[in-house]
Amino acid sequence: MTAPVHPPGRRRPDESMTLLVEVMEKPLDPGYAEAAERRAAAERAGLPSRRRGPGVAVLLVVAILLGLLTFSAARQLRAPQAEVAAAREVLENQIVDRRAEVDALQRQSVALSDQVEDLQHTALASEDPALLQTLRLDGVVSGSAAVTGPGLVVTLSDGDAAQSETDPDPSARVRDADVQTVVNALWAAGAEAISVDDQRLTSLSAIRNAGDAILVDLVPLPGPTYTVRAIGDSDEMQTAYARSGAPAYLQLLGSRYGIESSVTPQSDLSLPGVGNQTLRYAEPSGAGESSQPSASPETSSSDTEEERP
Amino acid sequence: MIAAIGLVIGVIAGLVLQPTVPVALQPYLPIAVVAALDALFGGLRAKLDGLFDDKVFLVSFLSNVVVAAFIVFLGDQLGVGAQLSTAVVVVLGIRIFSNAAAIRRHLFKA
Repeated sequence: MTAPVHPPGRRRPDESMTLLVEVMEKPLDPGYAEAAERRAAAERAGLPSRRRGPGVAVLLVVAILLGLLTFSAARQLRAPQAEVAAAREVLENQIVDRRAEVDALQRQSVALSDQVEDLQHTALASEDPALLQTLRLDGVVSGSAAVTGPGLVVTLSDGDAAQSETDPDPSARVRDADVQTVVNALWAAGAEAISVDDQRLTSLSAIRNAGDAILVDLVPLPGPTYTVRAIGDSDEMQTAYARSGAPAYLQLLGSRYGIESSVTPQSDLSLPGVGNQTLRYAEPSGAGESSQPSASPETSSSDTEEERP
Repeated sequence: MIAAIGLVIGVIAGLVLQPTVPVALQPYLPIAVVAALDALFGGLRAKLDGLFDDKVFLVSFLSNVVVAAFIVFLGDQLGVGAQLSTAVVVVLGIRIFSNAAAIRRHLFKA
């Protein structure tokens, strides 16, 4: 850039920033000053300074067009984009449709697995009643069969700070580890079947976080309250649970993050089953009776009755 | 005066007719609106300075909008659309601020 020639000593210190200086110091269009000068000159010369006739009409038309353009541009920019809203609606409808489809298929799957189980039972009832009994117990323990009975209900709720609209605090949310602690304490306290928010836990269930949501067997749980239901001898379970580390842990969560929790015994709980699971290991029934799943928790099924739909 | 009347008529016409801007022009709308704001503030300041002229106002308005949109178009063609938009917004933003400050000084003497 070639600077205009100045005598030395009169150089502006901000010479290298002429562009910015220009913008800052002369924000007004120089045209206005020139036009005012022209008007003044015309007045001095005694000429009429006002425009009239076609010139005025052209100016008016240009002004109307500019007003129209600017207004419609501003309106269009402010309006919610119709296509975006439409696309969103399409996606929402798809989600609803697919969810209904999933529900229908799940119901069908449950009905079919019930049917399979019924057929299995009728076939086995006459041939091998002992094996049938084992199968029923396995169904309870592995979570494939729905069960009812007395038990404990433990609820965990996100702290208030997590639900604030303006500045939600993620640490006040219930995390997967919190639910895991409760579930493990309940298993240790002698629970025979546990569900978290109606997701029955099987011997292969996982409770984990994905983003902000807690997933049980890949199904996201709707917060902010999580309900853990455990079936078992409610008195014994309550005592054993109180002796475990979980209550102290929950108390800590409550005092530090405002996560609320409660433990209530209930006389009648019913947990859903997850249906038949993939068969991974099998041996002929004659070879050995002790083919119980090894990954299942300790169990005594005295309080549990299998629910027959 | 004519310019102000024309702009008001244009805005009312926009309210009544609810025209839609062609899709091809939509990427340039934000910059065009900023340029229009710059021209409006410039005109208001000129009015307060006693320098206002309908023709200068409308020509600067029109050329502001067209040049700003053209710069963005050029930037898009060259692959520096976002940067050039930023440049236009910075320059026009500074001008709007200085003009608004001048208007404030006129109105409130402060």
